[in-house]
Amino acid sequence: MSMATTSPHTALFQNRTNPFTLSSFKPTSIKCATQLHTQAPPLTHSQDRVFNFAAGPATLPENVLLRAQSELYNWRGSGMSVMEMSHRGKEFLSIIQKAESDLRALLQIPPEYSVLFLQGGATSQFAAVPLNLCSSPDSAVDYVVTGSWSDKAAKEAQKYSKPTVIWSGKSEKYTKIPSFHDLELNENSGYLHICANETIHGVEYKDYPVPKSGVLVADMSSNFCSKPVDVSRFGVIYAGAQKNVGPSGVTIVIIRKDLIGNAQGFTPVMFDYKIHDENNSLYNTPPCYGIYMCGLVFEDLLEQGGLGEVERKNQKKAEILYSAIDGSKGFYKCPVEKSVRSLMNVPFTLEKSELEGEFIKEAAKEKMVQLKGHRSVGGMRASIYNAMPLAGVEKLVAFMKDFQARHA
Amino acid sequence: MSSISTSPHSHLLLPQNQNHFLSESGTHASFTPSPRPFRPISIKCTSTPAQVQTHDPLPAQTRAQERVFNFAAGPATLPETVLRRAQSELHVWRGSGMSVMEMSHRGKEFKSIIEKAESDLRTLLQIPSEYSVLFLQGGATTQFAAVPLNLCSPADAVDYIITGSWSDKAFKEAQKFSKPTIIWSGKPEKYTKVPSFEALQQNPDAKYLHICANETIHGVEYKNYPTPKNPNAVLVADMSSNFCSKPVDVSKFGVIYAGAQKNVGPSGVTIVIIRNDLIGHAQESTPIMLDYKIHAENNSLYNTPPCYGIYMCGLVFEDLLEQGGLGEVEKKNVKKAEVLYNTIDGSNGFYKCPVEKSVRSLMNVPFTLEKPELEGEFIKEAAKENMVQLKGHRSVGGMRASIYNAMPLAGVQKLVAFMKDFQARHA
Repeated sequence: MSMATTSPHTALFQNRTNPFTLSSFKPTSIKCATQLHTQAPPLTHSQDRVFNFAAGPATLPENVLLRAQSELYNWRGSGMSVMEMSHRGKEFLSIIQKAESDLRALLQIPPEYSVLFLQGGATSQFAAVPLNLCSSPDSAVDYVVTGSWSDKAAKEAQKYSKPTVIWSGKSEKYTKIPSFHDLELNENSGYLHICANETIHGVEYKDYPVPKSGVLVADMSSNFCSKPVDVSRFGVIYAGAQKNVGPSGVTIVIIRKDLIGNAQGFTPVMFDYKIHDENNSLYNTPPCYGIYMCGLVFEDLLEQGGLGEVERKNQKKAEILYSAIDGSKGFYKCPVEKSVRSLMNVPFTLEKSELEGEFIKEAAKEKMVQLKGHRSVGGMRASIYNAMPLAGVEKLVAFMKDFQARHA
Repeated sequence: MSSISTSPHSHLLLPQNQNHFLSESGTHASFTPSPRPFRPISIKCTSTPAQVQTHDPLPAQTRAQERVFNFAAGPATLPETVLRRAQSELHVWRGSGMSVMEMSHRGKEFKSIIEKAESDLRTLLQIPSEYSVLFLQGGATTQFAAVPLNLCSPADAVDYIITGSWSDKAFKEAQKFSKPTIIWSGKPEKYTKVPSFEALQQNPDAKYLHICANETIHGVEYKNYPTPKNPNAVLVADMSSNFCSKPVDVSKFGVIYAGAQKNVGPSGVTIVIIRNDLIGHAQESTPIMLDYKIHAENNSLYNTPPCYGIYMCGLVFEDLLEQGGLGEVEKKNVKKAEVLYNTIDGSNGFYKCPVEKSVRSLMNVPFTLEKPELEGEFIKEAAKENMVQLKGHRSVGGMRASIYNAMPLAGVQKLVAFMKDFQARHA
């Protein structure tokens, strides 16, 4: 029997431009009833693997994939696959509890928050948030729309609340985030909703507004666990797992407990946070294998030194790519305002747009795939989530320079 | 470039009445193929030449020693061949350079995976072309809300038959979105029966009649299906725990829904089969993720689907086809269930199954001991013999052996031998 004890990493406290108040956080000790298998990360990127710049589902850490592969058939002497376990058996309970514990350590989630592992993607949360946070469909709520995803969230909220779009970046093609001082927040708004990182347009909040209601809600699907976050500034954080923390089919919700238990009368049971909180995400059968995969990723992030270290890596990768774009004398362009360029999703276009198809095709031949931009935007998009190694970005940048040299 | 074409197995298309006799029951499970012509769909996988590493299934005698016989109710045991194959290609799928978990759901690789899964499922169940197949999230519990939200308005009457806990939960959820009536409940007799269809007092205005085809907890299974009296109404079935365990005439239903985690894959995938004319009438308050029209129009890719789970279902469907399709699968299931029920019935009361014989489930076999004080010991001893998860549901007690498709006959035989030995030692 081995013990996996989580503890905050001191690295999480370094180099923070915005110091936050850490409420008393006690590390949780979880005993794993089975022996842990540790596998050394591969020294080199496997030859048969590509560099996958897809926006989501996205590349996963190779050592996580190899570990999952090694125990897919028989998990740690249990005699069965994780996919075959009863969600109420002791094996799976240990898996989901450790996943939650490790996530709490990574994000330093205060004890007054619940962590839920749900299904249905962030899109289900577009409905679940107003259904749970607004006492009636007549409740006022505010939405800041910085891209397609926050726009969809605002539209869905119209069924269950009275949302106001208090700021929209649409007129400037979603390349900016508003100055918080200029936001005209509704006095009576139940919450303020933002999308922390817009996957399609590559716009990312580097800091967060303060709503009058005290309830800030953020869709963090595409930058979840990519950097430290002061969870206490939020009422709800929700994120689909399939970009930074696991495969698709798992949606994580972090919610302050006082916000639970007020769902509207016609809320479907699977959209009621109280049901999931009271049942530790096991009210019905959860997406067990996906949760297990998230657990392996959380473990990997902790082994990397936690989110402070992870952010440093992400900054370095993004810097290399943005520098190549900005240094190309206009051959490549990223339209996003520099102060809010995403560390995760880098959209760019070619000055000669007729070359874009060739760029994508040639890159694919060089085993750099899924660089085509979203169909609503065009151009290219390189999604460089946590698991994209620096080597992948370096290869892309080298290719970009070579491509430019050949087509200048 | 490799081409994988699915084709129907000829015996699935031959008109035949399959009469399967459950011991001491006299029930006939009859399968009549749909009168509508069924056209096989050919799907070409456009991925680069497949590096398929097929592992031959281990014969039972040399089954991997470390594997247990897992009688869990769901998630449940998966075919060993499927697990081996998934394991072999988890890191890199068939020359794609990436795991299935890493693929864009809109890329050509994953599209080939989900299209083949749908095509194989259509073949297995002979799903007529006027039905859509949806791969969703949220489990059957989400469908408890989605069904009334899509099929009726809040003022509409709908009928529910309650044969166990799951149909009861479905009824309760439907109260938020419709006016449901319980037209029959097996609760007074502790959910051991299915009603006679002739005696049902159906609401003539009901929009649909809802049943749970197999009650996982109580082990009660429909062997045939009622017809709604309202000619405009449809039959809706939760088939979560017997999906793909036997042939089904899909055309008798308006909607079939099933969580995948018992017979066809891991948890996190919910399959909905719905007649196309029933799509597009969702109530205005329906969450977008519960709107069948959204999912049908977007081929289940409106948002990111549970990709890896769908891939796993696809492997299972392939395996079921390789076994000869659902007629063959049902034969195996009937045999396994027979072995177990015979042991219970032949134990002179030491073991008892309370379910009426004509509706005993092929999938979930609940039983108790005459001496309940021995039940803990039974479960513990069985676990030591590598037969796990035999404890009955907390709401019922006793034991429950879930013997889904992937539970090999050898597992049931081992359980039965253990049961006889246990009885001999404690009679």
